[in-house]
Amino acid sequence: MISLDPVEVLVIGAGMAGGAISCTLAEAGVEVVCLEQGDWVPGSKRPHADRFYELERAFNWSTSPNVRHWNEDYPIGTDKVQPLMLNAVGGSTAVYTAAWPRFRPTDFLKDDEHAMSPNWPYTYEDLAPYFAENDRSMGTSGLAGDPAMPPQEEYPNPPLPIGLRGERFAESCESLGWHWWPFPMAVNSRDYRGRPACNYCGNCQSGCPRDSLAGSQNTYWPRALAAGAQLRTGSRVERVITDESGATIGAIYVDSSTGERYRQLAQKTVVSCNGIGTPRLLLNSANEQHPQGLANGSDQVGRNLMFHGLAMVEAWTHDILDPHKGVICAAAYTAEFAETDVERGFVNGFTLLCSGMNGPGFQMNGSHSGNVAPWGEGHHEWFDDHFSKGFSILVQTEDLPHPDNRITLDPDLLDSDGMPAPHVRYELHPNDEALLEYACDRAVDISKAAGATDIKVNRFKNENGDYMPPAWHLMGTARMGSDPKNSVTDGEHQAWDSPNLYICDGSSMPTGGAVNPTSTLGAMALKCAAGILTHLGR
Amino acid sequence: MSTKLGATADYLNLVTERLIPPTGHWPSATTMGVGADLLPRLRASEADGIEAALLELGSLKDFRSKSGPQQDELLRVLESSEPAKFALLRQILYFAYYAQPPVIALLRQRGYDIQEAPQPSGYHMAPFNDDQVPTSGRGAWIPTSAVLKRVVSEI
Repeated sequence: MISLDPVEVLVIGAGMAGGAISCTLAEAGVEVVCLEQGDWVPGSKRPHADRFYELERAFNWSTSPNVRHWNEDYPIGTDKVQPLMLNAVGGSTAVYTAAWPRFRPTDFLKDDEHAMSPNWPYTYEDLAPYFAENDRSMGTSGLAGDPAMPPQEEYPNPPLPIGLRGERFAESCESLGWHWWPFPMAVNSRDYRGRPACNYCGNCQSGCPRDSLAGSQNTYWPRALAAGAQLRTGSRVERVITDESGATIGAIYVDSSTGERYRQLAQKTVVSCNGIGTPRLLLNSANEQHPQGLANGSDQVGRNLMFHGLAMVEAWTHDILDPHKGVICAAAYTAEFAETDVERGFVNGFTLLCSGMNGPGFQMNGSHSGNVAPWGEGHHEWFDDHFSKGFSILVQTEDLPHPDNRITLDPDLLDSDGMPAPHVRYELHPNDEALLEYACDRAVDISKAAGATDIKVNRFKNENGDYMPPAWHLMGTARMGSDPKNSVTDGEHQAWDSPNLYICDGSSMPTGGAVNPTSTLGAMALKCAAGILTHLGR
Repeated sequence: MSTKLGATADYLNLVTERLIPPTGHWPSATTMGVGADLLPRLRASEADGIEAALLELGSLKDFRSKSGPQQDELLRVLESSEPAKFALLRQILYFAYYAQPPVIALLRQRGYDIQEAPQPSGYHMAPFNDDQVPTSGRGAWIPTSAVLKRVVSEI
């Protein structure tokens, strides 16, 4: 093992949080080293100019490492969920869809609201300045003035086109008397800071070859490197290490190109490996001082896993709606039911997002709802009735953090360096089952109001009724809190149990909201970085 | 292409023709060479999956000797007895068929605005305009200061 000179701050993981933190610290003059087990993903590697782009997206460019099997992937022990994860510079933001809504004020106060989830250790208002800063860094496109959200400054870019599918969704919401608004996205509606405007190719789920879609790899990382941050790719951290007192002092990592192991010491260490990777690393870092896993005196590491309860409802009409065009995630959304109303029989709320349907191969293969075109005699008629005539509604509900929904170390699976892989256990709470069902019914209401001739609901359940969702949003598994007994870090992301350790990514979130979390995650990371600067005396 | 791969390509063409019949103006999978186009694109895991499905269907010689309806019956048996294998075969062959330039050309002739691949041209979309801004004023949020405890005992 080679010991390296100590640095001020070691960041593990170059994703949304790792990028934002590294950039903020480096620009303030802090010596930062970031270890990332993956590599840069150049635009030229992506499949968007390949006519087999749909086949590529389904397999080689699957968002799930269990399908993709790239060298830098590690297996995830689950036979139920399909996690969205990428080990790369940018992390999962190198393949996500850049949906950019903010959590709402009540998302931070669920213990005050109904006590079935905890409060965050700070409020929406505390995070608001960081939301704005993150929007400027990412180049968010959107329309300020959403009556379903607190007032905010104008977005850096105007809203993206909502297209024919967005117009139909909007008309349907209007006819139902429901809220709708153009959806904020971290995708350029015009050229922004050297990155071109989106050309609406619709293939966002294989990332973006043009860098029109923002991730930390094309926003924070160029700035971080220009400010002197060191980014070591192909560097897989095996464990975070402590001294005899249990204080974190750095990490041991493997260089994937040589197999050599290194000990990198640091004054402060930040773990930002996502809601599955972070608890996995902490658990793998168990030692004499932290026998249950690093920072796990509370037995909370890995627990309280949240994904959002998800479903897809798809609707087909008589009209061409071009769902293969435009950003895939959302042209528009409704937050009509985003707040808790106990009259409905459950707590928490949901949002419904008007999403795209990808190309002809995907549409014939059932798009996101599993409404597969029949084979044989009826295929072409089905094509004529369905192709390009539909839209998807992503049903996104807030799930409750439950201690038995958790990440543990898989008893059998190992990664390519012999480290135990993570194991996922997740089931919907009865509250969340009721919420999801209600939300699906509202999505069907929109579909009917749109004049749908065919509607398909995908509840992501198998024939046994087991919930088997796409796990796009990985949250809760090393959560912040005010009480060391039921949280892993304080409100500044400092681990209760191990001085000089910070944990900041989706695992930090005590609640998941009913919207895509990355905007909030990025804001949270900027706030964390501000705290680290204070602690360093900068 | 090796004899074995060539045989597999032929088999895939025949299966695709049953899944997506070459009727009307729809191009024939065999004429387009879907199988030969697809095979080099498959990773080992997907190729093995295709192979496993074709093994269940029987030999190429037997399949080719059957009439169209008889071939359909074999596929229906595969679909019900080995649903996962059939689903993978169907999924991949649907992708492969709709990746063919003659198919996309047909779709464009029929008025669909679709490219063979999303890039480099992308698609034109009219920008968002002020006329599209919602005017109903619907939507609400609860400020931090107004969060009230809800009674959940009956849930």
